[in-house]
Amino acid sequence: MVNNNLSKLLLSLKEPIRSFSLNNNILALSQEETLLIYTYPKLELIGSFKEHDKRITSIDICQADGKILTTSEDRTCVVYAPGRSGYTTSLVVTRFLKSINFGKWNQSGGKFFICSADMGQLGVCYFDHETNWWISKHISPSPTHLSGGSLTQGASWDPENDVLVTFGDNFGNLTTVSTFLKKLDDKERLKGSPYGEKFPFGKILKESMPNANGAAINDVAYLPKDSSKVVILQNDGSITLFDNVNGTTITRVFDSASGKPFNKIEFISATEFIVAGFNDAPLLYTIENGSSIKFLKNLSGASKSNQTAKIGGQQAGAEEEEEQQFASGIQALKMFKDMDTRGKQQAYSPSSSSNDETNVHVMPITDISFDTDTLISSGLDGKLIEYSI
Amino acid sequence: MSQSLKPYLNVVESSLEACINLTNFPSQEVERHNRPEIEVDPSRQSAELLYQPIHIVRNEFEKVLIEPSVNSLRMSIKIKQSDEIEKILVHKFTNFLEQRSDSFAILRRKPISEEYSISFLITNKHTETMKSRELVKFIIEFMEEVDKEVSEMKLFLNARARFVAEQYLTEFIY
Amino acid sequence: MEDWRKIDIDSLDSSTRNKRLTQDSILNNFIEKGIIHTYSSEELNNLIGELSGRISKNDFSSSLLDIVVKYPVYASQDPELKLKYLQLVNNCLVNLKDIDSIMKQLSQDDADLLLKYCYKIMSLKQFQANGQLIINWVDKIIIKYGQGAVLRYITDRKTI
Repeated sequence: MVNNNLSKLLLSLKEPIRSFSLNNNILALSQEETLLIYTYPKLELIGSFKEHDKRITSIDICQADGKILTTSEDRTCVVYAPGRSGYTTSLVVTRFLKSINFGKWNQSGGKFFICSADMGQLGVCYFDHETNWWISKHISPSPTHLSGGSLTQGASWDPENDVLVTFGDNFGNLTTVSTFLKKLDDKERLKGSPYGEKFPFGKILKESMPNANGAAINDVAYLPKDSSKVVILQNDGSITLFDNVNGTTITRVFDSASGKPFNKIEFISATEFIVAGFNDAPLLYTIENGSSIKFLKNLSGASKSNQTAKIGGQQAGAEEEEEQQFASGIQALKMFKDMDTRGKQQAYSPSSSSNDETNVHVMPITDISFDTDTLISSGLDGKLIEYSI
Repeated sequence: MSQSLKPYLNVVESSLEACINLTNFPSQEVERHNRPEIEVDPSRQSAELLYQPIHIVRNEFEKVLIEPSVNSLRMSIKIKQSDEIEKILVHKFTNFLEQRSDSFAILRRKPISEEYSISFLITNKHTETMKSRELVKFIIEFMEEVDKEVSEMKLFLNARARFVAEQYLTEFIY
Repeated sequence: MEDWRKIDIDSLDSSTRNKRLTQDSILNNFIEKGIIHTYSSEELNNLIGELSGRISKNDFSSSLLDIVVKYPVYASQDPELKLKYLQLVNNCLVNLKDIDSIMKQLSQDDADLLLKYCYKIMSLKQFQANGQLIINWVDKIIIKYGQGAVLRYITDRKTI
């Protein structure tokens, strides 16, 4: 592996980028309620949509036909279909009463699933040509489920058949269900699946609580070449290689350098994957012999010193302190003293990160996306950063 | 800094940093709302959204309580008060700050209970506009400074009282 | 019906959440699923006996902690006994002086469990006078395992 840590700041926006998606030279990202569509890699803005009246929670571009899906806290989803004269939007009414936290197309683009905060239910949406309308069907976890918790942002399509979905909720339950629809799906593809014989819509195939600790599951990813195993990221900072068919943990590792939980996982090859989250930097891991997880490298070279300095609650290195644009503790306390002893009135306004032009994240990473040796990450600091691997 | 204060502050700092991983969390109870889950009325709270509270106690007079949740955390500090004067000073001082909590985002208007002198409430909105590391640093610095501040005020008060008393009593010296 | 405004209409809708998780329901569920073992009074008495025997002999060697980290008392039939056990653990932690050498032997899982005991002890009023000594333990654990140890503590639903 060549150690060329090339990272480049693509965009630096005002609002946090909570989600983005890149596909076929189209880059879609969120700025609170607004969806922005850019060309990639030129980054020309070709569209701006404000279909939602609450924050957008996730964005996904369909691999097959470039349709864009946004989910939002306002309980709806919107599909943006590309056409000659730009995108046409159509609203998907979901019947969910709470926020939709995550949505993702399947590979063929015929349907997508949505994770709701409504009783931990999963929605499966597809387009009905007869009624010219997007239909949303719900799958509820079984009542024996430990938690009535909401789904967090963790669900994934089975790469082998495009029909099964594994999702995690915020009480650490992992569930695998079938979303088989007669009109859309091919039974042949499900043959030989390790998850069973019959797959009627909504059937719960597997239920387990990995690691039995009740820590929320932030993201799930199937192994690209072996769909009986998944890698899950939990809120306790762990990365677990989990045998989903047998319900056993194969191995579990922590990032001891940062001690922070991860938000997103993305496989870049059959065995290598990238995780990113509250540690502000994407980390590359590999699965060895199908049984152990090994850390390879930190893609964001600059933040390394920052991380090692944090271990054990010891004082962080002073050199990184100089680049702070944020009001530091001393300033804030000084302001209080001024108010107290001199009666000075001055509002405390933390400056935003938009004037920061470095190519490292200074805030948690919200989303990552990988496309032929390029990784892009987005952060709460409004930055979009590109890494070549 | 005294020898035993350092581990105390270190523990508070690391504990706080572990708790400050806050995410945006649209309410799963109330539609179209987004509220700090730690401040929700306990009878309507879902336990899976709250994490284990952390008590860090030096002794009965100096302690910290951190209550983390998925999108917010509350931190309460009991400032050392060894005598009546310090009690009054701490009360006045925290009161003063709390009344002006508008100008400082993370300060809670009231401590969570009588047991604590001052509380902070950090939500995901704060960690999205300010670096969480800086927030932690501010609180730690506040803890370091506040003891000094109180004892300084006490000295100042004593000196003034002595001066006033002397001035007053000189009247009676012939 | 006079106070129709007070009717909780959400509870009439089967699709909304009318059953909330509480700390108790989590604990019971873990016990049911066999994730947590409930200590009977007899078992806990044995543990207490072993620990107090060592303590009365002034045997504050590192092996003392092996007992503590081997048997996580998450649930017990008799809360009074559990308190008594915590008192003994507190006693051990306060009296064990050679924290550094013990820390060298502690595995990550053991340290995570010890951290649970430390935070639990600090949360109880009757043990708070010795807080500083417990803080030293927590400090050493965090130095060795980083703030990840605290993160694991707050997210773990198996609580002492």
